[in-house]
Formats: sequence, C-alpha cells, structure tokens
Amino acid sequence: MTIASEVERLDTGDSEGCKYRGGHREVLTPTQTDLIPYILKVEESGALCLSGSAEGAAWTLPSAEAGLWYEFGATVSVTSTEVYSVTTASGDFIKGVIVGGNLTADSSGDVFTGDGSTHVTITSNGGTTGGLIGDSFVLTAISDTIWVVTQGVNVGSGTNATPFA
Amino acid sequence: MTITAELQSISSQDGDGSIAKGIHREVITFSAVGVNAGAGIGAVNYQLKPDQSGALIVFNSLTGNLVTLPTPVRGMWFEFINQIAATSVETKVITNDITAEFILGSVIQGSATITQSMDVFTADGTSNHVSISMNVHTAATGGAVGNHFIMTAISATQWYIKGMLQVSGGDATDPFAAS
Repeated sequence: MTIASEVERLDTGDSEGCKYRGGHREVLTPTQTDLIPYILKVEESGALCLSGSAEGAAWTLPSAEAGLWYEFGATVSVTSTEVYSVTTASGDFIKGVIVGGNLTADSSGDVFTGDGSTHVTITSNGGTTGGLIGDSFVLTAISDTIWVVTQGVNVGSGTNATPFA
Repeated sequence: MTITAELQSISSQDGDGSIAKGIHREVITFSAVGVNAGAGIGAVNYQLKPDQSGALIVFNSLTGNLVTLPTPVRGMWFEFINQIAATSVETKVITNDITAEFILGSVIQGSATITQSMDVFTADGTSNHVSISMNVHTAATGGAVGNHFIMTAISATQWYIKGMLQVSGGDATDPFAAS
C-alpha cells in the first residue's frame, strides 16, 4: 500500500481559515562562508535565514514551488573581499525590486530590479551592492520557476549598484 | 513530576513542511477606545507577551505609544504599523531588559514631502540600541501613517529589525536609541 505524501495543513479546509497565535519562526544561523553553500530545504520555508559571518555566506534555494518563502538578512557586515549571496536552483529566476541605501550618505537610496528571466542570484559584496548589517529581503516562489523578491533593503557603501546577476 | 514546557509544533517534522491556509493574525490596537483602551498609549506601557508572537501591533493614538517587548526567545516576532501619527509625542518600542537585550538591523526612512529623501539607519545589536523611538513632528524619526517594521528575536539577547519609516517633513533622523 502506498500512502500519499501530502503537506500537512493547519486549517481544516473549511471557508473560515485558521488562527496561529503565538507562532515562533524558524531562525537559521548556520556557520558558513561564501565558499560553503547552505542548501535550503522545503521544510525550512518561512525561515529567517541570517548570515552572521564577515566571510559571507552562500544560500541556495530549493526548486521553486508556489508558496515557498524565505527571508534573508545579515547580522554581521560582510567584508569587502567577500560576498553573501542567494542563488536559485537551475531553471529558476528572481523577479522584483530591492532598495539599496548608503549608510554614510544622505538621500542615497536607489532601486534595482530583478527581471525574472536572466537574474538567478542576489549578491551583496559589503560595498556597493549591500551586505552590511541590516540587509534584508524576502523571496517567495509564485510558480515553479519564479521567485519574487519583496521587502528588500540592501545596506551598503559607495554608489549603490545592482545586487542582481 | 515536572512536565517540561515546550512550544507546540504544527509540523510533524517529516520534511515536507506545512500549510496554514486562510491564516488570521492577531491584531492588537493601541487606542483611546476599543479592547485595549488606554493601554500602550502615551506613557502607559504595554508589555507584550510571548503568546502574542506573530501579532500585528497597530499604533492608533494621537498621544503616542509605549510598548515593551517580552524577553526574546529565538523565533518570536512582532510587526508594528502606524494607523495614525501621534501629534507631538513619541511612539516607542523598547526591549524588556535594556542591559541585556538589544536591537540589531536596519530601517529605511523617507519623507513624504521631500523628494529623494530616503536614508538608512542601523542598530548595532549592543547597548547602544535598545529602543526605536519615532516622533514625526519634533524629531523626524518616523512615525507617520504607514510606518511599519518587524522585530524578530534571533537569540536570547537580540531582536532583528527591518522596516520602512516615514516622516512628514525634515531630514530623516536616526530612530534608534540607548534608552
């Protein structure tokens, strides 16, 4: 006998939805650098993924599946010789915008766009593309090929540049 | 016999995750009227509780707000928004123990009346930053309608903040403080 594998549900499927009071999020703070990728799992959807090393980090998303989402942030500024990055699985792309700001320059904000067709990585380099303390953005899969980025703020220095590649 | 208190888990840890369709969040409004009438407004502190994690906290008082976070437990989170702007006094969120619990992260902030006004401010996760205090009228530290930020506990000593603050005039000013 084969037992079908289904994702567990909190709601009962009626039209009234459900409540989720006092929920605590999963927080991932792995020890890693930009040379040792952390491959995110489906079961970690919803997690706050924090890079806590000056040597950067490399996150790899699972294959896109509508509804999966992850939030990324930096609790330690990456040094200018390193990067922290998030990369899609093969065949998936990133779409949406991120605001970049310079900590030491007033009115420095700029907006950068991921095109959903060629962009597969968000990279913060500790300078123009962000990567300082407080970087944060959310990636949510809206299909089996597209991740949209929302709530994106990259904190950097110098003249802001696109983090998408 | 002592029964260990553990957080309930929705997932059975089978690797597939879970779905919570139609989820309704808890909304806590601080206003002069309503369920929480008087609490958390002006200088009357409101102490958030662990079982309110995930709630949307709505600032809806002309006389400002004062809210204290619970002791951080990794994963706990709260979101805050301004439904209205206070008229001269501050809206403040502070950690439960300012000697041991700190704020880390950043907010961006801009003026609704000044073009290209956006700026970025960082909290460093030490005793330098234990509160976020917004006064849209006297200090340009945020607090206008639509102001919003999220604070997530990432350890027993730090809250990670992200958000977008708005002032109505003047150059954006650092909202983070040491008290």
